[in-house]
Parts: sequence; structure tokens; C-alpha cells
Amino acid sequence: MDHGQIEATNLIDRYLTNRATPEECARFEEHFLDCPDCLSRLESTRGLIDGLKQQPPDTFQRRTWVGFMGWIAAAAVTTFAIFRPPPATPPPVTIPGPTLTARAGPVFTLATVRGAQADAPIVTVSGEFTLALDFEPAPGIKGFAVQVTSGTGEQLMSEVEHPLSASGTIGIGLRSQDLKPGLYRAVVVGKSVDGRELQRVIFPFRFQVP
Amino acid sequence: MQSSGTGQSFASPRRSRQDLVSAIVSGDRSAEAELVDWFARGLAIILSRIVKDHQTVEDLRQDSFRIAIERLRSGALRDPDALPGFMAMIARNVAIEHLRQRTPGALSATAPDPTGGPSQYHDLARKQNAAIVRKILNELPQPRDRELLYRFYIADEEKETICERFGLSALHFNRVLHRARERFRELFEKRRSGGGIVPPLDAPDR
Repeated sequence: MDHGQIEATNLIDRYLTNRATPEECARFEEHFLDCPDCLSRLESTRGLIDGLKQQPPDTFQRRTWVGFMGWIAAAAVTTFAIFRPPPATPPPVTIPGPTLTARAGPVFTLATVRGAQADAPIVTVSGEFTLALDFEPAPGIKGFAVQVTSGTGEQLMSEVEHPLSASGTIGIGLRSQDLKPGLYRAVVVGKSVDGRELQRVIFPFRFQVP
Repeated sequence: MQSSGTGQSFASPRRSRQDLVSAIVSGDRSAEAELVDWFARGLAIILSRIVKDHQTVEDLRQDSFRIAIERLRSGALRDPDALPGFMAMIARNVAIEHLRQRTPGALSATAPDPTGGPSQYHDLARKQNAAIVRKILNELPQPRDRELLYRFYIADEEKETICERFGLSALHFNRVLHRARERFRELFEKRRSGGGIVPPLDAPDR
């Protein structure tokens, strides 16, 4: 394994974020155990990821504004909204509760690892938002399927496959216009290599209008 | 650039893989210490990719070395050139076994953190680590680049999806990641050489 190949395939990032195949991981581990340069790059990239995770919720708030501007620009093409000045600040995002935080864009994180909140509210936002489902992967699980349903069982998002994440976070994109105020459930199914269901976790959340 | 395939390519090893393994088989304690010195950082990376808590990573690293030394002493490794693969395999197995014993319910909504909170040292180091990243984020020329880092590293969105969303080329995407990584590395090394607390990078978030 040479460094040109490692760089070209973005292997350090893919290894640390569990995007590399098991075979790639095994080969890369054999390599970096004997390669101070790769080891140093792995450590610094891990430090960067760890540091990103520690940023306070408002760190990425600025991009909400950017996203909102993009949304405004798109709307302007087809509607009279082009004549409306954009607001001076991003739309407010109010996220009470210890296990739900707005990280950006906006991104709402639902965590089960350190105690779940059964009814975490998401106050309405404009356009798209990301629901980040945060937990520790269990052994044997190689990927996840995610499904979002309303409290009445209506399927909002059909099952989508996600690879196993090193960070334990799955991000799913939702559009606020697809949601009515009410209770929803994000169901994560952990699957083995051969597709068998090994574990099922339910993240309840509430979408509401302020 | 390619690693030489021997222990001599590494900064600290004093002997070849063959000599090191032979010395351990013959009961040379200094060779065991050299083995630990050689592989400690790498095993931490392997273990922390599977196990989240830094104290557990440290415990599992000790277990990995204990098992490795026992097996090396018994002559279990026939081909000394395979030493890195041998060490990696032991670390992976130790981590997986730890998870297997710990949790049928690792994904349980009520699963407690069995490892307790971080140490004060660890906590302080991580705060400093976060400060470096904060600085890097503030230096980014475009707010979009912050989002890019977030979506790729934290929200686990795929590169192709992110590029499509922002209308970026793969080249630009790689450039943003590369710059952030290199800047972090530069500041991290600067602080290390300046005698500051170095974050225990074997411990990912949570």
C-alpha cells in the first residue's frame, strides 16, 4: 500500500469514518502500524473530527443563514418572493431538552446513548433539515436501515440503507413541508452483513410550529 | 512513497521485525518494551475506532499487548514480517470481544455509559482540541466549508451527496478536507512542541 493510493482514495478519512471496506481497513492497519506518517495523519484527522464534535450548537448556525439564502434564491425564480428582502437573521430554531440540540443547517440530534427523551420537540424550520440519530453501534452490525413514520403509522420516509458509522451518527434529510405538527418516529434497524435484523431502536420526536 | 516493510522505517524501532520477534521468543524484556513502544499509537487508533471510551481503549490496549507478547513468546508468529498484521488482528479481536461481552443492548435507548466520565486531564485536553478546531473553523474562507466538514465528518453524509448539494467538484471537496486536516495538524504539532497538553487522540467523542 503506497501513499499515493492512500491519498487518492481518501483512505484516512474513509477509515476513520467507517466508509472503508473491511478488506481496506485490514490492509491499511497493517500499513499504518509501521508508518509514522500515516499514523500522524490518522491522529490529526481524528483530532479534527473530535474537535468538530465538541463545537457548541451555534458554531454551524451561520450555515443556516446560507441555506436559507439559497432557499430564498430558489424561490425567487418562480414566485414573487424575489421582491421580498431576506430577513436579517436566520429563522429561529428552538430546541429544548438535553438530548436534542441544533447543530447546524439546521441539524437536530436525537441521542439514545446517554438517556433518551421520549418526546423531543423540533420547532418548525424552513426548507430542509437534518435529523442526526446518535448512538453507539453494537457488535456484528454492519449497516442500518432507517424509516420515519408519523404517530398514526403513516410512512414519511421509506427504508433507507446507511453504512455503519464510526461516529455512531446517522444523518437523514427531511423537508419541513412534508411534516405536519405531531409525533413522529425514526426507526433504526441494525443489520448484519447478510441483511439480518440484529437490533431495532426507535427515536421518537415531535414536530411543532412555534 | 512506501513504507519499507520493516520496523526500521518507524521512528523508534531499534531492530528489524525478525530480530524483535526472535528476542521476544528468547525472553528479552527490552524487546517487549520495544514492541509496546512501536505499536502503542497504532493500536490506540485501531481500538478507538471500535470502542468509544478512552479509558476502555487504554485497558484494551494493555490486554492486546499482553496477549501479543504471550503468543509471540510461544512462537505463534511464524513469519515476523507479518508482525503488524498480527498486532492489528489481536487488537481488533480484543475490541470486538469486549463489545460482545458488554452489550447485547448497545443500541438500547436506556443503555448506561458503563465507563464513567472522562478524566480531568482528558477533559482539559479535549477542550484545547476543540479550541484548535474552533480556530480552524473561523479561518475557513467560506461558511459553506464549515458545513461541508460537518456533513462529511459528523452527519456521515456521502461525499457525492455533499458535492451535489453544494455544486462542488470532488477536487474542491478534497481540498477543503485536506486544508482543514493539515491546519489542524500544524496547530496540533505547534502546541505539542510548545509543551501544551496534547489531546489523547485515541479517544473519540462520547
